Amino acid sequence: MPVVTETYRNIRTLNIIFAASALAALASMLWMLKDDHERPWREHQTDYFNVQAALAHFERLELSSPESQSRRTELAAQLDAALEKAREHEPLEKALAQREAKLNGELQAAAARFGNLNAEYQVVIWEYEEHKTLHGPEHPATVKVFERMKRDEAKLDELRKDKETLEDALQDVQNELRRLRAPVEAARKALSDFDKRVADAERREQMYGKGITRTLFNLPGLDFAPPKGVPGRQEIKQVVLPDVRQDYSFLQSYSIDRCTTCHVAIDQSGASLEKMVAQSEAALRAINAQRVAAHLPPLEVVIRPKASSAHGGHGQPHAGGAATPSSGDAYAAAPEQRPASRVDATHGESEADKEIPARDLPPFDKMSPDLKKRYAAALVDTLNEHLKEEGREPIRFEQPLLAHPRLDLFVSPNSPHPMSRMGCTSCHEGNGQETDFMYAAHTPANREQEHEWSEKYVITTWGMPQATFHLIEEFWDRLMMPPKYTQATCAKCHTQISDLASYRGEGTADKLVEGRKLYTQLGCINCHLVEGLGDSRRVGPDLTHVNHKLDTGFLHRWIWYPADFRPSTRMPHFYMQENNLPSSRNDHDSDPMLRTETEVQAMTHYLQTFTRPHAPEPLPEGIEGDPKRGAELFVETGCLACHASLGTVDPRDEQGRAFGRKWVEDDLRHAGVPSEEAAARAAKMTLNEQSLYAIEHFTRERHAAAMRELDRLRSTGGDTDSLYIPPDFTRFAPELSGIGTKLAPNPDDPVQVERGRRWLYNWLREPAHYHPGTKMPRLFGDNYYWREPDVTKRRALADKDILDVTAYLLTQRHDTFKPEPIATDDRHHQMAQSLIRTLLEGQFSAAAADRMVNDTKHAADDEMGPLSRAILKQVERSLSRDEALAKIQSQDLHGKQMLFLGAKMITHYGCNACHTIAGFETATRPGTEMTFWGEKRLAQLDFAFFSPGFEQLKEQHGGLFTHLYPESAEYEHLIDANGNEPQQILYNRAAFAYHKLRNPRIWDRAKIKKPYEKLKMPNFNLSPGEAEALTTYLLSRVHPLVSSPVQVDYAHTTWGGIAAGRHFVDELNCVGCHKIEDNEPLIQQYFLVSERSGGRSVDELNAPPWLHGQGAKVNHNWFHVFLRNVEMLRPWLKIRMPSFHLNEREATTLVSYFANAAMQESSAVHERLGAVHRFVDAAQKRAGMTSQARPDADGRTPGDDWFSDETMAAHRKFLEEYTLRYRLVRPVELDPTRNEPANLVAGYAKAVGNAGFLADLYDIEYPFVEPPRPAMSDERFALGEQMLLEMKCLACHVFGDPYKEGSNSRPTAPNLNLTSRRLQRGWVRGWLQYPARIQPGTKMPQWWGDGGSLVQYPKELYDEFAGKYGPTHEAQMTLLEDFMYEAGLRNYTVIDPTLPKPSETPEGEEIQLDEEDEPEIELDE
Amino acid sequence: MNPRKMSMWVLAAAVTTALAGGEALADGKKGTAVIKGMCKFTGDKPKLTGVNMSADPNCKHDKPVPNPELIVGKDGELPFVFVHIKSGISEKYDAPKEPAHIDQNGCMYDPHVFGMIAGQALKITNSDDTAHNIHAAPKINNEFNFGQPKKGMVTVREGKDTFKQPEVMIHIKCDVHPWMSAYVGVVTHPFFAVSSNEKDNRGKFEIKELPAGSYELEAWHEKWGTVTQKVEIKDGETKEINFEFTKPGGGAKAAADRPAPRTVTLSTIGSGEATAAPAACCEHEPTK
Repeated sequence: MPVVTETYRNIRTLNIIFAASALAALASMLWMLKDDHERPWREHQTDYFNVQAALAHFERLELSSPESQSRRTELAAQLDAALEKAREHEPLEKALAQREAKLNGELQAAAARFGNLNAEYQVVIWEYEEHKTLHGPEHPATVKVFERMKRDEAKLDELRKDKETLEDALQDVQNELRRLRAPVEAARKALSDFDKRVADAERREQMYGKGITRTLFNLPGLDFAPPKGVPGRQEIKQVVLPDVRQDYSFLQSYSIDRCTTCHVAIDQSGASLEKMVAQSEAALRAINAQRVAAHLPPLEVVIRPKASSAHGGHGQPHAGGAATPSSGDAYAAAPEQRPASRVDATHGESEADKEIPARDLPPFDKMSPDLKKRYAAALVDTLNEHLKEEGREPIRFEQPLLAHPRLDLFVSPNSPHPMSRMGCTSCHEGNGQETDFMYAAHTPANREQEHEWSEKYVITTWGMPQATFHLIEEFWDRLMMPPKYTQATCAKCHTQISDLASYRGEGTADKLVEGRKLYTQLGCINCHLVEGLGDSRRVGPDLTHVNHKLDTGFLHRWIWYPADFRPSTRMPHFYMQENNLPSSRNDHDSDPMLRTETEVQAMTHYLQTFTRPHAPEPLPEGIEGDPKRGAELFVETGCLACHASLGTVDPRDEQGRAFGRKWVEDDLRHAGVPSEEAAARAAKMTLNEQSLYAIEHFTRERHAAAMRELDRLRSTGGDTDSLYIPPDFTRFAPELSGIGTKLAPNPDDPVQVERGRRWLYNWLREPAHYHPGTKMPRLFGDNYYWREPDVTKRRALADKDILDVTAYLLTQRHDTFKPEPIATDDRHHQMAQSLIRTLLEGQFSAAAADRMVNDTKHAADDEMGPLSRAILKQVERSLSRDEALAKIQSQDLHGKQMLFLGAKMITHYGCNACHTIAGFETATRPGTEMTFWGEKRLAQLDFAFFSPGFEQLKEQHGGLFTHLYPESAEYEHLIDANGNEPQQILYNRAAFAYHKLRNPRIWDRAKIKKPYEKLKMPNFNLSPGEAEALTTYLLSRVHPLVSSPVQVDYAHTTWGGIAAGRHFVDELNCVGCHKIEDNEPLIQQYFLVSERSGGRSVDELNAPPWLHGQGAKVNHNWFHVFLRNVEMLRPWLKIRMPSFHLNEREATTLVSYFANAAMQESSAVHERLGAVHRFVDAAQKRAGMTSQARPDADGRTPGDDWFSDETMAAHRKFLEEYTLRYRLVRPVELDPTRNEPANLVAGYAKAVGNAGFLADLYDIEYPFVEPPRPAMSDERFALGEQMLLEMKCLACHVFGDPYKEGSNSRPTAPNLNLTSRRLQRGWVRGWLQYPARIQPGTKMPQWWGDGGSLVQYPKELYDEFAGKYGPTHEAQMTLLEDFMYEAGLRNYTVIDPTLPKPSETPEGEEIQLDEEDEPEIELDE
Repeated sequence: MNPRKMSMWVLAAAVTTALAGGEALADGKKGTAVIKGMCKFTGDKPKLTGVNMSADPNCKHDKPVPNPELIVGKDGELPFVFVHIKSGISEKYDAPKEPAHIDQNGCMYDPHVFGMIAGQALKITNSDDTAHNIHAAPKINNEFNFGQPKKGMVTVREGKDTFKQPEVMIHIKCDVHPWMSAYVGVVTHPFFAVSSNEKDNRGKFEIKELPAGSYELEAWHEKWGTVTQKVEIKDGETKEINFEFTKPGGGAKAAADRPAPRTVTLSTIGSGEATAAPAACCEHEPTK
């Protein structure tokens, strides 16, 4: 009997509970499955599958089109024909095959015979050795074995020859067979390829398309079953990145990026917009063909007006946004159009509003980026109609379904940044592990996008918003980098940044590089430290003896508003800003204008009082400056490489216009202003107006974009004549059109003029004398007059040059500017006192402050009052105490107050950061450190009243916050052209920095602050592009969080030298004159030769030399010395190489840069060439050719058409660009439309050969070691001299002492005795062979190498030459080189006795024909 | 030999054979029409100057040699104008077997201006007792530059080493004697002429054996630029075409075909109470 146990459980109840909870569990599981099945990333993947299916469908359509079908028929026919043909030589083939088998057998036998004997021979050798050791070499047994060994050897040799003959024969037979069979095989392969494409398209369509397979693969809850990576299966994709870290508060962990879950096609080259459009267009043609056949109207693509074609796609990171004209985008899009210019504003918009039928469109690759997008959207719309009719899913071509736009650089496995290593968030930032749009922290590009997104993407749970843009911006750390600033993250691995530079700004992090450059060039670094940026010079001039240079009036006006005198100046603006204009008046700052005037007066007073002794050299006596010659010298010597000068007359202009006027006039005309009006407008402008125009329009970016376009036109044979290339208005050094006014405000005052002359003379003679830290080099050295042996006369000649230029510069005036001092009255005195009191407030009691202001001595026997003591304390560290004291005591009370206030103001505004000022030499940086600015929390950035949400509040509540956007005329210069785009303030770091940079006082707007609490960062009047670049740089200032394997190794590679060097050549502006890498030297715009045809070309022979490959050319020791003591190399040039003030380390940086650049170039080219050679070798191997094989009857070899292979596209592009850039081939030679295939092969072979020549030439070592010189006998030396003379080298060159009787007195080529000191021997050899490959257009004729002079010598002449100087080219070149090097060592001078002595007619003067005799003289021969 | 060098060699071999193989074009038709005419310069004649050859006494002449680019006849007859058919000929013409010839004589090129057919060989002779280099500086074709240091030297450059592509004009110069300059027009057909510098025929040119057709004629002068004319001609016809050159004026092309002028607004710089404001240029358009 069961025991009845009493329990508290009731089974029945429990059953009910279990049942209910089981149901609940089931329900929640179902809910979970449903929720999982509805996650947004699945939609993207489905979209992607639809696109893939549609593309496969399109391909099938295309393959089934009549043309494709006829192509297939053709292929089949070709196969039949090939088979037919093969039948013809069937007997031959059979015979060959038999022969092959026979030969194979024979070869095997021969090989066996050889092998056997060889084995025997090895034994005999051993026996011989044994006998020799045991019995000695003379012993008969040894001799016998030896004889046997010799016999075997001879026999072995015979057998080897037999074997090789058979091998060769077999090879020939095999080659012949292959040749016979090749056509059939090729035809068969072509046909099967076609069929495979059809089958492949069908398979893809089935896998990806909507249907049973896809549904099965993605059944909720069962989708784990199909294997990973099956087409059509939705799955989360991720990459784990051991080298990229994430900071999880105190713990660094691997990054895991799941971005590809939505951006499915990011790594597929087939998913680029270009390819998808091409495929769609082909499909559309096929569809229309079908429709026409079925008597249906064809589908037509029409681009609708912009408003209606707006697509909601979220991730179009490169869309930019119309409201922030990003200058960079505009240049890239249409280089011929001016960027950010209101001249074109209307032009750009009108296009967007029109309805454009497809037939009116340019080809896709010629469309602007915006038009491309619109066209693709329209095309897709059209195709969707078809898909709808077919019952298929509609598709779209936009992110996240597109490929990365730069697969050559990123993402793809062959690129330098493969996804498996770099992931996505290392560059784009954001939350890589998330698969939801919001949580991944996408960052909008502009306000419009933000609005759009905040409506579209809101995550709610139970109806409660969990994540909105506002919340993510405010509280999340890892926001995605705004698309405009993505380059900032490059600096994580490329920490030196300069190695990303490309002077043309293509394909590289140009914004980041520019930002880094600006950060030092503008002097940001002077106030805001960035660790690791290297030492930094003060960017402003030395002010410790400014009284030798400038007047009080000028100083006042300059500090007050520099742009008033020189709009292009890099000196930033402290005054006339929105927080010190009259409207900023508040309770604490009752009269901002009076205050700032007083401050200016105080600072000027300080600067002029505390000067250090300076002893300029007196003007040389007896030399008068000639402004006319000075003007010529100013242009000729190269001043314009660094200084723009709008008032200078262009010597090459037929109408005699000054640069400024000419530039503006031409620019207006090219913008569509009629000629007369353009001329009139330009003539009416003042120099300052021209300057403003130039700043806005003649930017380097625009110039560079036009140059790129020129390159493109040249390489495609386009019309270069009508291309307008705007000038490049440099702001590297001061623009000089008003320099006369600056140095001598009153031209009638002899004292001022004399001071100006003297200062300029001293400055030009030795700039470092006035300003030790200046970048200005010494240009007018005595060495230019090397022809003059007398040193005193040489100096006088240089002095004459300097005084001429001085006289010219003093005529450069702009007299609308009145440098009068700010009038002082009592109000200023009172203001000064009250300002001092404000400054002392808090530190001093009112009584103490009173004593200070009045300089009242504390005790009667005090040496001085507290005010005087404070001033003395400031200056005594740089002036002697007595001198300082004397200067202070000579001041009255007001003077002392002004000195004190001046010192305080200099500290407050940080003048001393950029300028050397007496008493401030050791002061620290006034600004905050920026080393890790990019990590700054948003909460630490004061957006003032522009904090998040204010825009919406403003919209909702009308008047609220409107005073943040004052419409005052006073503000115009800040808000409009130079200020901020008010509606674009986003709540992120980038926006904070950008707006601060554009208008540094913006975050003070509507705030009530005391004068010295106000923001004081000065306004640099940066253009939007510059502000963007600097913002990019600031955003790059973070802890990299990547491990060293992915960082660029600068210490052990060529990149270290290059990065440091690039930075330095920019700083010295070497690139202003010399083409070094791919830069366009600024000076070249002044060396243009107007061409009657062929567009723009530079007077290459008179422009500064091209330094491409310089590191492989010159002897590094010589180069090092030369950089510090420039010697005359090219006496025929008018432009001069200045001497820079380089120290040992700086000179080494430059030398190492050139060497590393050459090495880097060499290895980059070799890498590409290696790929080509591997391809060719592989092709030859496939064809069974041994490397001895010759080209066939058509002159072709397998693989010589490597350039038409898809896999070689990147190498081809590189080699094309390289060889075209260095003129190693002509564009026409690589143009498939203008060449027969055989010629094209020849063109590419030439490109490969010539690129290989340069790559070998530049393959050098650093540091360079001169090979030992072979000793040279006197006879050989004499022979070398004879050869040099016979070749008439001295018709252009000098060799040795130029003063010696009989030397070439007007050389047009360098002195050859420099060769031994200056040139690397390997380079000299290359130069003798192919000078024009090294320097296109050179005057040096080619002697050796293909097509050289000696190769073309008539036979008997050449035989004579070779008989004398050596039988081979090698021997001849060696003789010449040996002689040049030896003669250099011996310091030997070669005189050509046959060299004509020039007659007495002075150089350059034309003989005038007697006009009356003219007809008889010239016209009769 | 290493593999890299080897495939280089194979590629190089491909070049030679490919170049040698490319000369089998059919010769185009010749016709019976003739175009002849006169080139004239209108306007103020430039002052004729002689060439300063003082740098090299081997170049000495008894009388000054006039600068060829400045020669204009009494009534404006202009020599050294290269006249050719710019468009309208589609047939291909073989380059003649005999090479074109240029001589260096008295430190001047003879002829000063001449024409060639693309792919034609060029014979260069040095009749001077001084060293010359011959430097062709084309923009489309390949550059060459070699020396002829001795009197009497003759160099014949094969067609593959000269100018393979049409190009009007190519400058030929001597870097030792910078005043020496010649121009060659490379075209694809034999229908070109250079206006004569003989006293009685100065400025005259004649193009013969032209097939009937409608053509664009271009005349080029090194100093005065190019002039083009359209012409239609029938078989056996002789047409008189004259070209007039003037001083190029005004610099860049007129902007007639550009879009209508738009307002240009410059940025202004601020004008506080205390500064003299630079006036804003031109029309001022307020921006919102």
